[in-house]
Amino acid sequence: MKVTIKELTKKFGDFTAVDHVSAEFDDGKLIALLGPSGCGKTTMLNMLSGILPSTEGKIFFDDEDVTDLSADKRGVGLVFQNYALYPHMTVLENVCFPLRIRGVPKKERIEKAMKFINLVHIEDYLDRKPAELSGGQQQRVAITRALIKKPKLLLLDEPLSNLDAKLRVEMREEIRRIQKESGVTTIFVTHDQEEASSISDSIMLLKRGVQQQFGTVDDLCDNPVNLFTADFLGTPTINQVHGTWSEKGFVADGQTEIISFNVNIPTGTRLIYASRAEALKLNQDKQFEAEILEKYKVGKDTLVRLKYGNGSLRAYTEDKTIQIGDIVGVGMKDFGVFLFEAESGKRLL
Amino acid sequence: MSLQKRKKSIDADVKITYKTYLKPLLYLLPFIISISIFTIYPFFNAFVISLKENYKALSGSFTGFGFGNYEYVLTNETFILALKNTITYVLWVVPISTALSLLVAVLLNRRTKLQAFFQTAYFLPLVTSAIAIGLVWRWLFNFDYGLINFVLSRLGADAINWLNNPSYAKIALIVYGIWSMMPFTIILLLAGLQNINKQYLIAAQVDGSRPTQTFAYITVPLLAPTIGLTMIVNMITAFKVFNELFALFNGKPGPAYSLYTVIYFMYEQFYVKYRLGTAAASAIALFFIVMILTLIQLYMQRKWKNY
Amino acid sequence: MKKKKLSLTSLITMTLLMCGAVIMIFPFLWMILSSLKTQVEVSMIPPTFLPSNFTLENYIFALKTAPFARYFLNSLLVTIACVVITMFTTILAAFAFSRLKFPGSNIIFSVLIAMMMIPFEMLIITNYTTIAKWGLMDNLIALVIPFTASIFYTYILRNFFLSIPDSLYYSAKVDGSSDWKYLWWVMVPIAKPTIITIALLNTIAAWNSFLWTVLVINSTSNRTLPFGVFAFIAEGGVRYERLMAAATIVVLPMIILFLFARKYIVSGVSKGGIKG
Repeated sequence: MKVTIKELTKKFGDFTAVDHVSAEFDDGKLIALLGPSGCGKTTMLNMLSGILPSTEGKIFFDDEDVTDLSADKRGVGLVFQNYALYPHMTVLENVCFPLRIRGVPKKERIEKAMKFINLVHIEDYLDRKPAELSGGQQQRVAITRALIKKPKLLLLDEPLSNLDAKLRVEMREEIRRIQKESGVTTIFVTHDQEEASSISDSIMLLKRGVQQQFGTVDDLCDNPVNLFTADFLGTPTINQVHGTWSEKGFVADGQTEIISFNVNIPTGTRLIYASRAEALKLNQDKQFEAEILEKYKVGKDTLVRLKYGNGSLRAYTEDKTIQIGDIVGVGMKDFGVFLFEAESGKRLL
Repeated sequence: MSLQKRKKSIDADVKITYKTYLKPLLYLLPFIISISIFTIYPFFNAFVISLKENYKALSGSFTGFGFGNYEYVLTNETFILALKNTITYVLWVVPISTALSLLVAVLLNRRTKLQAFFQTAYFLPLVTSAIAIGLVWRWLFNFDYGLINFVLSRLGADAINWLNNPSYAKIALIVYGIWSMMPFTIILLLAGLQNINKQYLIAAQVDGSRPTQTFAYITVPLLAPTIGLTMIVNMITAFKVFNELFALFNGKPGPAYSLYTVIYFMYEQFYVKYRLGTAAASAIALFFIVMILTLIQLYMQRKWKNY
Repeated sequence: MKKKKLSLTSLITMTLLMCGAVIMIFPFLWMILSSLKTQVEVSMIPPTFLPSNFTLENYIFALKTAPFARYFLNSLLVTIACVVITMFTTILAAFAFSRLKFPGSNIIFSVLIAMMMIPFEMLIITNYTTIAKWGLMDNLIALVIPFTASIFYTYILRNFFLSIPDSLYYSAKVDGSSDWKYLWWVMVPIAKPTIITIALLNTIAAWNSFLWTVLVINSTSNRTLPFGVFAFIAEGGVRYERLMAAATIVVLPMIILFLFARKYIVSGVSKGGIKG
């Protein structure tokens, strides 16, 4: 099912938690709502589920306007951050609860449940109570309970935040697998960009209730609309150097050389030069010089930190002879290098 | 469990000398003295007294040890009547007051306006003297001028001699009992309701559950332990009914001595008839009833905690 | 449509709650209203709701016939003495059981908890003999000393003390504080809400205590209010307008206390349910 939101807004008194967000989430996709805490992503999820009424705007499931439909009538599946499994019911009872509510006979609901139980792999602990399960197991049960009513839309609120690091990687792959196999449109909330980039088809990035950018992972990484997006996504964090535009190019603070770019910017504009670590190459197509401050082994490559201007740059290299203190020439590839206006964060290149 | 472990670690590290106990003992002294004299000693002494035959409190004389007092109590018609009355009282008061309190607690939990007023109204009987309010109920149940009979006459019914007819007197006592038990019960059930994580209720709603279904499938099962525990605590309280009876019938056990309760029987044996041995024996009977109920409570608490 | 439905349920809720509240509060209301009526009006049929002419005669009669001022003073003295002494023993014992861990303390505490289920009525017989032996019969002290320690209050306060982190104790120790100072300067101020709560529960229990008072007190001048109002039936006759005035005198102080300290009392009672 396709989900469309139009100018969706939520106000709590004077505080605007979600500010006129519009987007279309395509059928069968896995979408991440990403942003720092307090950016309104959970508020948005709650509006999609029907728990919270919206202040303004519309929500459509396919062509149906569901804005005024209460949570019990929307037919969405929701997995809470702490799973909210009913503590007095066994796993099987929890999973069957949505069917029991609909008056499905016991035999039939267990039959229906088994399909999802096998999909999510919780068959080994059907008779246990939630308190007897590990975090990962509870997570699986919660997902099964959400899936069993065949929701048109599955919503996950910070699904991985209550799990330890190892389990988190395992479960996010599980979520991806289950989502692909069930084919249900899924929206999940996360503050972790790595989590969002690793499994989702597209990401909506929010900041203080305002949509920053909505697109595929590659879109957001390679084509950020502003500094916030560029800064929020990618590991390691994007390199940033402050400077000024001087006629034909960028001059970093504390440096004299001009790094030329083919773009038209008024002279004297304060800028931030940003580049992905993997977009820089050492001792090739030199555009400026920098001093090596530190180096680390990262897999096959070496990650170096270079001093440039008042900041520093990270770059990868395969050259093993490089030493700390060396002055190296730095060149740039034709992707992953951006210029942002310092004041507004707007992208200029 | 964790306390047990902590204790062990202290045992292991610290050399135990008389000094280990000196300081805690000083802090505990006033408490221990009071509890020893007025709780621990009387508790064991009650068993001793109950076994003394023909015990005279003033001279301290008795004719020997035996089960005569128990035999007397357990075959005494008045005690049997008292036990019957008490059980009847418990079986009426506890379920009705719990059911009504549950209704009130659920309504109060909806966070309506006038919370402060409602809380005051519903909880006030908690703090007021059962004797003084018993007089008010006596006035309400009065045959000639009581408000209750007036209301009945307006409804076309005959006036009822509430306080002098044994079967109606029982109802009057039960009504007063329900009224005075409700505040405590409402508070406990309300606290239980507020302890239910709202997330379960929201989750049920998202699962498609209507409010009535949520109440039946989520709220009630999650509240069941609280309801059970409240009922047991109330049963213990109801088994000890005395003040209500005393006030309603001017110090007598109901009309024509028909409404003896276990505590009233004990009070009469002890204070009026001065038979300390039988009074102690009946007190011990009460103790065992309370103990059994408490053990059930503990058992259920353990069982219910299992989620 | 949706809004209308919502207000309908809240209307039903309000109506039901209001009916219940009126029933619960009615005895109090009727008590006060009756106490302000004359003998003639109180026995009128149909009864009047509000007194047609307010009279304080019944209160004046009660105060003249029986020494209610004296009863009030006795109740006040006994209640204050009980609460002050009980709080003192409770605070010290709760501290010993929570902070000054000593080998065997948990076993002793478990035994004490088990003793909470002993009905007070079972202890009366021996306590009566003890008080008689000590020559304290018909003495206000007899109303205080059996109630100078409470396992239940100690249990509540100990649980609260246990929730105060140990680090506070060690840092106070490093700062040179003794156990005694730490208890009164750090723990007691932190536990103030809990102490107020148990003190209020204790006040209510002491003020309303009846059975024990009837047993050990004889003379008129040593009666407390609940006993006094009960005895008033014999002295003032079964004149309900006068009895209601007497009952009001007993009940009013606790109603006032409740109006001011409702939150503490309610929280204390809800803790009481999980004892055991």
